[in-house]
Amino acid sequence: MDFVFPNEAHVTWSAMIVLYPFITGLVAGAFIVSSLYHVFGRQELAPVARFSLASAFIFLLFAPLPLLIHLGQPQRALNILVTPNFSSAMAGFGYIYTAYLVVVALEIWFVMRGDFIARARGGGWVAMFCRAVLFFDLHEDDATRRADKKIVRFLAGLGIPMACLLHGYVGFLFGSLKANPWWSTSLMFVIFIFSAIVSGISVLIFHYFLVSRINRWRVDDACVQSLGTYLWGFMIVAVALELLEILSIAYKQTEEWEVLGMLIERKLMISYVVLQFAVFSIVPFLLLAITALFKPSARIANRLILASATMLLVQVLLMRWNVVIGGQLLSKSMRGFTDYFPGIWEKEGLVTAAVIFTLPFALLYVFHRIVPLFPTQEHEAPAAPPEVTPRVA
Amino acid sequence: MSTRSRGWAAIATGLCALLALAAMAYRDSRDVAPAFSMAVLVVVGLAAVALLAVGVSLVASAREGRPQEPASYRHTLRPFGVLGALFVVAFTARGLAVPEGFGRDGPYRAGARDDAAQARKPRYQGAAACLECHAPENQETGKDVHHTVQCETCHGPGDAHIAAPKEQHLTVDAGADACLVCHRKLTARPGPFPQIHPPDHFRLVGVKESGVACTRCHDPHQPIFLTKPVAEARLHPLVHRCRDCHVNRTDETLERPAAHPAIFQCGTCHAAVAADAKGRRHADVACTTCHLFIRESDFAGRIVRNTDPRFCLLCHRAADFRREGGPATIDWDEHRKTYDDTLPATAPCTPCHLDTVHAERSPG
Amino acid sequence: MSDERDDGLRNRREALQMAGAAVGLLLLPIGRLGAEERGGRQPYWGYAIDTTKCIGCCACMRACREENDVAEGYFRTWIERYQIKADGSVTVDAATTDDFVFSERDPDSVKAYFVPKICNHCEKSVCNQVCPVGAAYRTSDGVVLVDTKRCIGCGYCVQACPYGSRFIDPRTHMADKCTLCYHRITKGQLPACVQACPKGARIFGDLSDPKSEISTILKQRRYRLLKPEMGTHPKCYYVGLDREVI
Repeated sequence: MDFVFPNEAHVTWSAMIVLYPFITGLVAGAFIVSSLYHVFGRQELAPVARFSLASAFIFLLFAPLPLLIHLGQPQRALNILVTPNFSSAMAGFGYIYTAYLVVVALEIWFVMRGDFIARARGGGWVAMFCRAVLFFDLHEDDATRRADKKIVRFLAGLGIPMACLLHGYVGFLFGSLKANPWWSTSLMFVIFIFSAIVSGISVLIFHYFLVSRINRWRVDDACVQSLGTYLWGFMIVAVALELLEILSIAYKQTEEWEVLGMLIERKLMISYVVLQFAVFSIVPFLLLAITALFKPSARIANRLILASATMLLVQVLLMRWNVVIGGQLLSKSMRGFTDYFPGIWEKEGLVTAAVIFTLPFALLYVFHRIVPLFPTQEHEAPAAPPEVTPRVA
Repeated sequence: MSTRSRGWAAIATGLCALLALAAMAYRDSRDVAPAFSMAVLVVVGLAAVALLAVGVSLVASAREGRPQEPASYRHTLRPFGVLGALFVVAFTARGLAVPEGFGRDGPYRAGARDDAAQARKPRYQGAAACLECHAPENQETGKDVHHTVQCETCHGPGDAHIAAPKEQHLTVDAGADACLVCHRKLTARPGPFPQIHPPDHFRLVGVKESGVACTRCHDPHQPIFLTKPVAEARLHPLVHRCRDCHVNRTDETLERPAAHPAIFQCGTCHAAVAADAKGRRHADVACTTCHLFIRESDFAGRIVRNTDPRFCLLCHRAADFRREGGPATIDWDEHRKTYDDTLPATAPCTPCHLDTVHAERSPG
Repeated sequence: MSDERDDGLRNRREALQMAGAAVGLLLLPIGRLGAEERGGRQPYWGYAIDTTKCIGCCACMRACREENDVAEGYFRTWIERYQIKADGSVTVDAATTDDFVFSERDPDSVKAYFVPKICNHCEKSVCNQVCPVGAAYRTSDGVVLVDTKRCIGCGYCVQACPYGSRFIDPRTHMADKCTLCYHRITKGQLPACVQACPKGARIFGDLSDPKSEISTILKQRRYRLLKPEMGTHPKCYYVGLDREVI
């Protein structure tokens, strides 16, 4: 049991391809939170609504970066837009990504128009930049704001299926690949979407706490509690689907189970069984269950939710790793396994991945400096009642 | 038409447009040339989205029923206008960027096929090309058992040599390892294929050292000095030696001799000769060593009686690498001078030495 | 009241008529229809491998490497060796190092044989289906090729191939695979591997010619395909294939 096809010794889809669905997952999850506020009117999410939208946008800007680094001929990347072969799941990337980027950019434009106008009235380069962003039309009144609200609701609603499509196509890409038994399952599309939402909510919670700690703000407890409950719900579905997938393969025991079982046992025992499921799924589930069902004090709840969010962020990253890399460790000869270590300083190595993951946070900070992402009055006093200032938050 | 009806009409049209888009995309996703240009697909998609959006908003506003406070959309003209302009520019650029011939023969660039056909010059030329200049070697090789082996398999690709015959020469590795690449005995090699375990082979043919190159005895172009091509040899029923099938499993297969499938062995038809050979000096040598049998199909093979003296000399030629206790060795020229100097160098050994092998062939 | 309802009915009918007209317009095929090459009989290339004849000399691997300048460490064709012991355990290896020479292994195997492997040039190849930019294609004479001017090196085709025939060339960073020596067969020559094989284990020819050697073999011998359950319709036919071969 140690034969791999000669061309399979080298793993083609590297850590960059693990990072890409992780980032688009963050995008999808952050956008869903933003749409929960803008479309479904969940008012308790007001403090993070605009921040989540900005997060979605910034992460979306960085999403193609790991792909470009991975491509053998990145200068030809535009071929995907010029001559897409629509029988390929990957060909959808070019147009779906562009369309979704336009939708999110438009939504941010309309949501933050008021803030851009306020900033544009000042001086300096930033004001010039804001004026350019506004296409030099600084007029606003109640009528324009009403129009903005309608457009935002439409875009946020339109964006939900697009976000699902942008992230789901990656799941479909893996799930439809019949040559690889570890990937080939109809559930992959749905698993990716739900774990994406989990990762998006988790990164929002994590980032929210981080920003609040740095700026010495108080987090909005109701907002965090609500996020925690949504996180709990989505993670239950995501983990249940992941478990369902592996349990049904293990139960059916078709011919491929022989080698898949060995893959789990020999290659993925730590990263899949121990870390992804035992540690980083069960523990957050219990912690979030405590916060959702037993309603502890805000201080404890916040800590539990933050811890769960961090763990779930790791869980989703592990899930991407186990799917992408795990599938390639298995040879299509069904008789052997290969090894993979991404390298530290390689072009597609760990340092590159770390840099790509942290850059969006830096850019979000720059964004915040131009236009505030957090309604500042909410941090000095308890949240204002909804009747006051019906400003698009 | 009321607002609501207009709204529903827009929704219905939008859904139909979506269906049409799906049908067109499906049609184009088959492995044939795309039938619908990209522009059409995108325009239909956008139209579907726009129609659905307008329809939903019309129906929603009709449903709300109360007078709406005015909403001003003038400030949206610039962003949407810029977006529209960008879209047109991008689409035009995209159309211009599509390479020539794309989609003509299928969802690929039609010129790629010619590129592939001209990607490189053929390197291996084939034995016929070698024959144009190197006739003598080819003639011998063509007769002997290596006639299925391409010259270039051992000598490397001939393109450089044909282009510059005097400057670019082809070399060959004449060490033992080169021959053993094919002829080393491996469990996985088909039994009838001639393969040796060098220590066993050397012991049989009387070679004392292990590093002796195969070419000291075997001419690669005429490995066993066949006197005529295999294709012209006489047809013969399939015969099997034990080791053709029983590569290593001698213990197990001796247990049930009665269950052995029916096969021809030499003694099946040539009983008298086979029995006679057992008492002679060449008793250890299998019949098919000298009477080379080559399987030609599932039904028959060809048998060659090797009368070239150089074949006998493979074992019996005196050399510095012969071992003690091996086959008797001679120097061919001296041997002829000693016993019959009218014999040409190509005279076969068997007229004088048949008694060492077996009696004259007898029917049955 | 009834007027309103009639109005409503009329409006609905109008709406449906509008919708129908719109759909009709939209379904007009406005694009041009691509045409397959017609006129002049083209060969339809196929490949057969007689696994009972292969002696594992790997002359084909060396010939392919020399002919096509294949990157080191990657293979457009290779030979696998299967050795089955008395207890049924199977060991598989390939001579991918040491200049492609097999050395003896497990001499106590009860069944052992060599199996050449090559790109199957499938009729419904997955690699063509999944290439996002149309750089993987199949010619009308049945050869699956890579357009080296359009490939972006994403590696999707490498993942999609069930047979492990494709790889990313580390020198060009693009997909690479067996081309059936397209530069030779379009000039009437044989692929390098077919020519190099001393035992005639590799057969190449025109499937659309009923008198070709390959058509004759397919009519007379029993053969199998690799991983037929994948639905790829491979065009490489394996004569004498054992069940252990995947």
